[in-house]
Amino acid sequence: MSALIAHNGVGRLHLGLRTPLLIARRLVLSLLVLLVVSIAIFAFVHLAPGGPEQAIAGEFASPAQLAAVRAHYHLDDPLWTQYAGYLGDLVHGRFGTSLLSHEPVLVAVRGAAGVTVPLMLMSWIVSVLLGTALGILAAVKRGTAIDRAVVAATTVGASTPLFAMGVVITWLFGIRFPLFPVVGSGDGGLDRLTHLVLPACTIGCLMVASVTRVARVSSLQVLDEDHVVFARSRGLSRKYLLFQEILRNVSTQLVTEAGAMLVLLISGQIVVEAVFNLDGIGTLLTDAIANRDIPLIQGITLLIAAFIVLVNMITDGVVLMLDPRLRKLGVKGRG
Amino acid sequence: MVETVVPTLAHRRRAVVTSVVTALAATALAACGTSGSPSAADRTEVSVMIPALGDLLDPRAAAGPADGGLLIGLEPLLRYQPDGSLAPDLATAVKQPDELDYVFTIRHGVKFWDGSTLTPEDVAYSLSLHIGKNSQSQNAALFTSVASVKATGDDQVEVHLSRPDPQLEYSVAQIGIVSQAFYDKHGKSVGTPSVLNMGTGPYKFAGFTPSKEIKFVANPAYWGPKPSYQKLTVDVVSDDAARLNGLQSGAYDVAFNLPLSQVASVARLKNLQLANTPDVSVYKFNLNVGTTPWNDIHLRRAFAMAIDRPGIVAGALSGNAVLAPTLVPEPVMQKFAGAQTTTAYQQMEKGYPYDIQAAKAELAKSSRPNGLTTQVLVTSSDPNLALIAQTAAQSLAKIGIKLEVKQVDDPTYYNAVYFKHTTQGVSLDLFSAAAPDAANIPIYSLLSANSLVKGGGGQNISDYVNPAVDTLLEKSQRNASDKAAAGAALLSALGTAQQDVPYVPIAFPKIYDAAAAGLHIEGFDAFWWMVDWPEHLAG
Repeated sequence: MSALIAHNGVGRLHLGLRTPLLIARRLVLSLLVLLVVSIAIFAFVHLAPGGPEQAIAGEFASPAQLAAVRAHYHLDDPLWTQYAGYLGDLVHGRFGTSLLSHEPVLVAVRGAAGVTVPLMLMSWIVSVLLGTALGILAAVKRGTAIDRAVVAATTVGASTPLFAMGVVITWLFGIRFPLFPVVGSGDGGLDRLTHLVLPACTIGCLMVASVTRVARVSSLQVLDEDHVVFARSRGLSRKYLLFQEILRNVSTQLVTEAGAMLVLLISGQIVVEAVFNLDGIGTLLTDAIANRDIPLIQGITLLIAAFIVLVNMITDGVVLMLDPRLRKLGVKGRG
Repeated sequence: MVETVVPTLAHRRRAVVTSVVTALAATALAACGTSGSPSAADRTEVSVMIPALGDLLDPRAAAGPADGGLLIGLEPLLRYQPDGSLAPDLATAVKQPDELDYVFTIRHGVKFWDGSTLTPEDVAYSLSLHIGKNSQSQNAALFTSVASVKATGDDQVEVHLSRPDPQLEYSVAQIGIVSQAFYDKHGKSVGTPSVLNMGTGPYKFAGFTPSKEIKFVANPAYWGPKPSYQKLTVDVVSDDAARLNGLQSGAYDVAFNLPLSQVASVARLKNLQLANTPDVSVYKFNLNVGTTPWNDIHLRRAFAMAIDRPGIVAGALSGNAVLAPTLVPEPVMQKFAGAQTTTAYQQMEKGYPYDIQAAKAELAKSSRPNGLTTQVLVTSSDPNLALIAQTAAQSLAKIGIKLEVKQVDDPTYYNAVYFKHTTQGVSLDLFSAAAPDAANIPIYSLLSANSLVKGGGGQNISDYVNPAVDTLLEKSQRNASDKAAAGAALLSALGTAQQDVPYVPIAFPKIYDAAAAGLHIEGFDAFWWMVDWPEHLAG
């Protein structure tokens, strides 16, 4: 990365002068986004029918019991008072405590992240690397049987619903050929990784398809450009063509796609965690919603929002570093 | 230099590839190794699926089948037996000096897992967690009749009631006994994954994931017979595909309360035994008699007679249920009321049979002679609700009642149907008894004190208020010594209420349990979760 920046002295100059301002502006905007998200989540949670007191006291609870629970957790306080308290806690880094499990929100999220983060990384890294390789291969072998096979496979992969993919993969590698566990999160370490293989493959199949398609289309565009044709005519090596002409020029699209994939993974995780009965963040969130566990819902959704904002910031930053043209446009365009 | 470097890199690559392949093969083999199916004698651990778990390892945070994990670690005073009786557990005896007092004698020499001795104060403390109007316990409804609990003497606990409660012993059998000292020490953290809980049971808590999993290890110092297994795992698997995969792969040895929609699929799996038992629960439509237009008896009768109940049992429930003439399954009522049950049930069965012409005639007499459109809520956590509602909608349409089925999430459903009664007057639910007592469902569903209009909890979903029925229900609870009279009162209450059509009983579902070969799955009833089920499984 530093080599690419150093390669373009003008870009480095722009980064040196403008970057702190740019980052500061993005940070302020990101904080505003998170503030709006927190208000929206707070409003939706409190407007939804039912309340945590019903989940806490159970379906046979009396009105007096329900009232006692609401009073205990200050659920009848004015909404603005509750929101102000919530925001005040957030400023001090306190995400609250689950009303049902009595665990601090960050402790619950940390536990679930022990499943979700390895799963995300496994599926993301493999699918980005494999998808890029397949996409470039298909583009280089344009019109051949290899290209057609890759296009057909990605079409199937991209159009198969996640749960259906999960069922097929589970049956094949968990039941028919029992190579990996089909349910549960495992007990940590190698056992955890073993339990995550099939879920990661399920998400990976879908993501590989998307990354492959982007890589193939981007590579085809680059391959038709004059500088590639010229390089070929000069008899430059395949390695040079691949790394200096193709990969370098499709990298911005690939980075953007990889960032988008990381964000999309969050929704995919919820489905996959259900199909494989994993105790990840998706499951934690759906259970919290089902119980109207207000602090847990607010904490998880805010952390997810922060994650998305962060991924977008990093993606934008990397793209700017990779492409000097965008950097100039970005700096000019953003003042 | 180059010539020496290139082969080295190639070797390294091969070494890396070899390592990865070896690691994958090793993990795959390790995974395969965990899914074997040992013989009954060799089995040292059992993995079990149950339908629900609490969010805390605390008796206040779980009720019904969700208690099935807790009661293995936190033992009750009395232990429910598969034949429906109660046997001594942490209490060696129970006496009832009068209809308002119970005296439990606590077993001597029982130790908690930390070595401290079980005292009557621990027992009184454990029961008091569920008593009082402000209790946050999910089991508080079981103890509304209790006025006080106190430890008396070295080994006795007295429970004083404010009114007679024949179901008290069954209620006590649902409550795990905990260590007061442990609660005092850990406060609000009791029951969390980092603190767990302290009991006396044959299996100790070894791990907990809220509402998902409890891990147990055998308690070598258990006061009773040596536990049959070294490890137990109790999991909740909510997704249908995951549940089936878990059973098929051998990851789980037992599944209690299989969803009816999955029974046929599980039945096809090799090496699994399937057993069924009648549930003490009822699918029923509730017609809120306090709201317009359902306060019209003719409309309610028309609704009842326009529902093809046999068709629902055969189709929507795939025959895995029994037609319900009233709220209580006949075998349960037989135990309570004896021989008079048969005649009374035959009479109730004649009540409102599926008859479209008669339904049309009743509708013509109602305030809505041309029919109406109404909505019924269903929730995906019980897919049978949607199937029943859609089947009923087809036959109701024949008389001009358009039933729109709307699927919502659990909190929305429970809020509208049970807690706030904000439906359009029609609701559909599966109401399960909280105790194996024939009066349990009628008291919740018909007693006016349980209606919202009388300030109750709302389990009387139809807000049905009939003083005559109230009197009969109370009479059925006061005649503990005269079972025939109590049974007659309960049957009469059901018969009287049926005439008013506050509900339309549809079916009593069966409960299906599955287990791997060598485990003893036969013999459980609907209250398997109150039984010492690991020992029952071991045979």
